[in-house]
Amino acid sequence: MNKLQIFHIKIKDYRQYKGTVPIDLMLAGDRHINVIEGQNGAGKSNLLNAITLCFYNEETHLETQEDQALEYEPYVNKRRLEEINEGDSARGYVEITLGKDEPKYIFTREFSTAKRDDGTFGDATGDLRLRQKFQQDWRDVPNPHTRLSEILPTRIHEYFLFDGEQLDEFFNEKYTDRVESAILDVSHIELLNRSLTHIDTVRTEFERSSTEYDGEAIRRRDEYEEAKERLEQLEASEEECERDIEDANDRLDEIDEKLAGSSDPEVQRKLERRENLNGRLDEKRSDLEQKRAEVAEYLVESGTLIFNENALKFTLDQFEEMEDQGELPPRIQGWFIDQLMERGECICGATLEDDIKKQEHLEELRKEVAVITEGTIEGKIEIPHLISQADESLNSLLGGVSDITLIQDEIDEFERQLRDISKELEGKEISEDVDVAQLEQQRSEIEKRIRQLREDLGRRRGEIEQQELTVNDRREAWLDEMEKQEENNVLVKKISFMDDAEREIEEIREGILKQVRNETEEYLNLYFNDLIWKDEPYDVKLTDEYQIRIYGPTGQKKLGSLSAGERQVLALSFMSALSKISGFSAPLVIDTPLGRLSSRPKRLIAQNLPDYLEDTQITFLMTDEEYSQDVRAMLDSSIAHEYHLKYENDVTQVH
Amino acid sequence: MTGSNTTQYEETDAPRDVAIESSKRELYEELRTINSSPFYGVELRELFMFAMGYGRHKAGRTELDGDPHYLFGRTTLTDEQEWIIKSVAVKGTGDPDVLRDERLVYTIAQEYANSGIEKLHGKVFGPEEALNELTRELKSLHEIE
Repeated sequence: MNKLQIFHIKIKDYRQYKGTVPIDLMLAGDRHINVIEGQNGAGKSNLLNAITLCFYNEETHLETQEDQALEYEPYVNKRRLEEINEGDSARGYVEITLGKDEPKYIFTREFSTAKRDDGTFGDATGDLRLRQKFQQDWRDVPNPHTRLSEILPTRIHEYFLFDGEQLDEFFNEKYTDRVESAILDVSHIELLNRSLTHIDTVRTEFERSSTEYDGEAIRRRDEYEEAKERLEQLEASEEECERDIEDANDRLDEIDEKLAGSSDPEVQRKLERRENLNGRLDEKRSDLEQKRAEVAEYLVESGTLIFNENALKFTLDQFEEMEDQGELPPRIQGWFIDQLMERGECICGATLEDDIKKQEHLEELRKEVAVITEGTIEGKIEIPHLISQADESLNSLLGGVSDITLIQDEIDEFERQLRDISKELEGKEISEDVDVAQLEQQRSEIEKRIRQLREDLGRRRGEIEQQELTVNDRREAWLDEMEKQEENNVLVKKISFMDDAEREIEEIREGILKQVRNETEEYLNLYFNDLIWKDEPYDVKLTDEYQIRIYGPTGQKKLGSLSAGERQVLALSFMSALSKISGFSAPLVIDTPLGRLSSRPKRLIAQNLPDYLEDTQITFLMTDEEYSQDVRAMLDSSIAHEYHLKYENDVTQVH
Repeated sequence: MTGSNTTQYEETDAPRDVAIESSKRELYEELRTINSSPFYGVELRELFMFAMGYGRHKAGRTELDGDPHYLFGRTTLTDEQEWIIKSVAVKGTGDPDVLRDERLVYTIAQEYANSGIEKLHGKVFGPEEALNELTRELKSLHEIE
């Protein structure tokens, strides 16, 4: 094996694991898969957490749980904590041994949990420690994070160590941001980014040094500076607005906490109802945002097709008419002319070498055929396809618009109910410690303020975009003016050099990103088609804007219309593509890889994934349901170790 | 066939970039960056394609005036979008031979979009509910077609 593998994980008193629990994951020949199976709650996710806690001081599973507060568990095993007194603390550690053919690195992180007098717990983690094998000796390495970054940097680890069950969320709202950041992560372009920042700093210094020049250029420069200053003010104001919203939300949380202290059962019921309504309202707002984005796509697509439908039909008619009348020669004629030219003899028998006119005529004819015929043949395929898309596209638009109306109605209804609750609470007179009416009035005021601030923020962001355009225009005008005066030549050249350097670096950066996007698309296509349980082929595209588009036999399949299982397959394909092209030789650990899938895709993943990553150690953390007979049979020949987690009395045993 | 025997088209290459009037850049930006617009978040080239179609139906061709602003590189258009642009030129001139003059093909598209974007901006930020209105228009137009 050329890639790194985890030889062992040793866990001491972490969560469900009591005492020292060693787990051997070392590969056995070609067998590169480990399966750790256990029921929900048996400690599978905490094995993944133990790995990320050790390496990165974070717990992947909890980080992605919305209700993490409800799931709080101390680091140290509960049974172990029962053995210590209040005021004392207990310690544990996670130790991971890595290497290629033999163990080379041992990463360790200690943690502790303090048992407070009031019965609550407090967790703490120690520093990462690394011992490395040099010849036969194990020695401490002073900067373990540097070595870890070479093996698997923090920002890359989520493509190697992840929870499969949460993968379908990857392609939810604003997924393009996540796709973009993933592509950036695996592109190794930090140096270029740093260079761009440096260029910007140096150029700003040059621009500032131009104050010694006068005339029209200085006036233009002042206008440019003024526009930049305005942009900075707007950006500062945007930040301030964001902070104010955050503060107002904190204040809202405080009031909610106080209101929750009311002992009046009716108040409690209303608060619960409000919490529930707010949750549903958030969901609906997010649905609305997603739907609006989808509808915007349908609108531009169907608008482009339908507003131009008569042009498409007309052009197709023209092509067909030309073909019928023999004005549009079939493609073979192009080849025929090529052959004549190659042979050097015209159809009339004239030798082309002797008859320049005839030769020119044939060349001209060949060009004509190339321009019109080949283009037209392509058009004859594309245009009917476009005309046929109009119906489907319009139906998607109509459906989307009607969905928006429904969602908006639901939002209006939730908001009306929330206003009613607020009014009822404001009018509530109860003789108790908590002044519900007053708190509720304050709450209404703050909510009003948050609404106002959000509107301001939206406006500010619009102004920022406009101002950015103004800054660019004024900069161009200033540089044009500077160029007119000879004494500015050196400075203009310096600035222009910086602009060129910036453009060059950006082009290189774009080139790299494009290459990574293309490679990702290639693997994504391959993996998705192999893993998806449908028989028809899909064409998966990754656009320059980091959108993922899936085309099936009936046209584009919108991401929003994918089932949870399909989204999981897409995300799993994406993650596998990223880990494949990332250039890092790290092992993969996937929690609940087949969680949301039905039996066919489960089999396909079990069958294919190990082959894609044949030179990578993969550790699957699976429930007994996932690790079915079928899946076991598929993986059997690749399995190095198989463990069963048994959870009893707050403690997990590994068998 | 319409007019195919009357005009001789010069063979030209398509321009590297698709241009709009500089003064209309803000219209594009507002349509895709203001949250209330039904085009919020769409790509510039997609908006251009829509504006071209809208221009054909609502206004006709208007020559570009003043400084050009290059909105996007032509090569970023999909094959399908390119064929829509070509079809618009064929329909606009009534002559498939126009496809030889690729520069003219794009000039025609730019001129329709030039008038279209103005009308569209007026529609979206006007008094009516733009999404529903545009959808209704598309539905009835498609039924006629």
